[in-house]
Amino acid sequence: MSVYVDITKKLGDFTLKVKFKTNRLATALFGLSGSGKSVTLKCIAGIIKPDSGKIELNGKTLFDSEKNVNLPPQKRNIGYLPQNYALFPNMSVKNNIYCGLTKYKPSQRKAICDEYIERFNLNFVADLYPHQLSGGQQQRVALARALATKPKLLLLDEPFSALDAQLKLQLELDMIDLLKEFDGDIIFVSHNKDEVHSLCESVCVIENGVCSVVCDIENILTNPATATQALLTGIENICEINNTGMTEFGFTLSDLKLGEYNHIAIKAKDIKFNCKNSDVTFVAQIDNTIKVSSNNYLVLIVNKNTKPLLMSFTQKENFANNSKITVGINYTDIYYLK
Amino acid sequence: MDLYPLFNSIRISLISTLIAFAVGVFSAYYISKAHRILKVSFDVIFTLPLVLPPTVIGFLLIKILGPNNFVGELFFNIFGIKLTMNWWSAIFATTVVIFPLMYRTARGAFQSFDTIISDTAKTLGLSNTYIFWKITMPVCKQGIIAGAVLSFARALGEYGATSMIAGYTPGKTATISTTVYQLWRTGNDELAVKWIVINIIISAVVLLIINLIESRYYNNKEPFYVRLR
Amino acid sequence: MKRLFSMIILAVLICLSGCSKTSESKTELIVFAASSMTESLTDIAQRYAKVNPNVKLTFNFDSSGTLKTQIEEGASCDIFISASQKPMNEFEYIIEESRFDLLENKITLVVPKDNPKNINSFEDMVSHLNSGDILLAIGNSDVPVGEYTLEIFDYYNLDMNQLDNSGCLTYGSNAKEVTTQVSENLVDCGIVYQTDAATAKLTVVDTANKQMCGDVIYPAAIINTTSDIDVAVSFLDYLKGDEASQIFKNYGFTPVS
Repeated sequence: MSVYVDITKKLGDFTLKVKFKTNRLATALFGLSGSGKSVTLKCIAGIIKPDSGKIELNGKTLFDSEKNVNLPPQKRNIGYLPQNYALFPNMSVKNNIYCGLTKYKPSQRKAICDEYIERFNLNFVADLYPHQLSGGQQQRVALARALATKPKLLLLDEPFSALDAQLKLQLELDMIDLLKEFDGDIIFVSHNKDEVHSLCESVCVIENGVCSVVCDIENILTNPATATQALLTGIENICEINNTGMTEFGFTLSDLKLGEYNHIAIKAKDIKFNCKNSDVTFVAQIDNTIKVSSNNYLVLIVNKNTKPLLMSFTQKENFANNSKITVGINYTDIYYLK
Repeated sequence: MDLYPLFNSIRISLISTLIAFAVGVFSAYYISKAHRILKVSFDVIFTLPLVLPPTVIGFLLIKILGPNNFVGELFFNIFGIKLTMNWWSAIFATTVVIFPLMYRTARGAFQSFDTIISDTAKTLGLSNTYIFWKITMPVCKQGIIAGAVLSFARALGEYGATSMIAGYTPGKTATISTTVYQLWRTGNDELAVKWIVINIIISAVVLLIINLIESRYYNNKEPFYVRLR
Repeated sequence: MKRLFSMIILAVLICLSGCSKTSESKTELIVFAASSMTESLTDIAQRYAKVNPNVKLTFNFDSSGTLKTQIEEGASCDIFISASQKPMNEFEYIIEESRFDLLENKITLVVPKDNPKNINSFEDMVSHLNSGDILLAIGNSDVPVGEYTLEIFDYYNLDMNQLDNSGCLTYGSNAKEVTTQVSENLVDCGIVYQTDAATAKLTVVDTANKQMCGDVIYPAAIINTTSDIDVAVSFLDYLKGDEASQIFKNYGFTPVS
């Protein structure tokens, strides 16, 4: 059960060059907007034709530019869920699911259709039209429609980006449930690290059209190598560093590792307050205090031209806005990134 | 009152609209998927009759279909029928004149159709033919039908090119528009006015239908996919 | 972009300068004449320009009925030449004293090249009309050539209603339209002026005589709203003169005076 992708495609300013092989059930394609994730997905689905390369699903060649093989999407047996679900607006929920079941005998079609409506909890909306459904319901219909055709691979393009934050968590759980019974591969596209963490076991990070690493999430969490990977880990402070050691945050590093790297990252909890033995110390002004999902952060700025730095603090310590404090960072806590 | 012009005008308009519909919708569909240069070239060529004076179109049609000229002569030699001065000669003129209306409306409808829907349909295993008839056309139908009704209205009012290629033969090639002109020329204002009233009523009814179709499109709960686009 | 803009301005200025070529010293004479006189009068105008360079002739050629309506609706006009007496009769816009018969024309039956329906005379035409197997192009009753045609039909005792119902007649709105329909082989035969038949090089198979439609006379008159009566009189005199008469004869007209 695996997908092998090795393709190139010229897209306007940059060239997409992606190579990865999935070896788990759920793989994420993680990257910033515009990095080429959705295009990769469409190439796998057969909607976009790559310039060159090869795509294989469970050993079957879907696309091979050298051998001139390009299976049309109809023959790839892949389920595809675009970002806005692409439900057929002129058909009811029931017909949306029913119409894709062309490979079954008419007698079976109705049974399978009913089964999926039941399983995805769509009984009450079966006769409604897509524009009458909520976002969550639409997602369930799209998923049911795709899974009812028993595809070998499921492609999900940012499935939660069109939903409210409140719904997201519930729907993530729903989706985990619904996907449990699916025994094919899943490739997820997302720019949200939390989704990636909760739904996938391995991740392919795409930056500027190039796939930089494919591995289990654990590896990235402990050892991010690029700025995008660092984003994935949840590190709060990431910035550029120039070859004199000057960071966007406003402090300078004079470590030996400079020159090979152009970004650094620091966890908010690794910025120490008033610590005299730190490798790097500097003065910063408290611009604000914010709270993000039960973590308290101080927003620090060195001067008005520098990038804000987030520093963790506990409720016990009292800090006043606009006051200056001295902070320190240890070299060992700094992640050097490309 | 001899009602032949009414019957003839409606007959010609219906047939022309059907032809323009079939050719217009299919060419619009394929051209909306074509390469940019092809798209622009065809758009210009197919829109030309809209901006050319109908007399220019009439002239060109006579030069092509007239019995002395290439196509007309060929036809006459093979089938012994002249393509001009018959009631159905007007169909050539009217179809050419209304084609741009049908083509551009259909083009606009197909262009604004989100292809992600048809792409997703393909991944479900649906054939391109199924997708065109059961998904694309139903979704685009309001725009296309409005275009067809507009084309019919325009066909009903065609005068210049029609008069040149079909002439005015009472009871044979007379249409409402050519009849009104002849009645005015021979000083029969009374009868001309009667025809004018009939023409206005028909046109008003047609425009009312277009309005109804469009208001259903806008006032009805807008399809979800339209908003996202 | 700037270069394109200045080129457009230049083009517009050239066009405008071309428009203002009419110098104030020239007198304009507007002549409304039957469409059958198009070629002959245009020819005459060129000669006249050499003799009287300070007079600018402007023509409006159309069917006499249309021209009469235009004058009634207020169009500027100095001279009116009609293809039959009817438009001139009881026409309050003309100066009666200036009216005279200028030319004579003939009505002819013409056929397209190769005469596909083998019509060789008016009698042939009549019998074909009665059996309903030809398409004949004629002018409508507002057009003088159409009026003369109706008289020919009368002469042969043809019933107009029956003819219309048979679908054998197609009506053109001026003589030139009928001529074109014959030359383009859109119809089987047509009834046009001798002069139009000659200009369009159509095959004439028969000519109507006086009993069939009377004399085909073209009267001319000065319109009473003319701005310069002397210039108008002078031009009409020229038309009666030898030089103009010769040109008219070349086209197939017979000068009356």
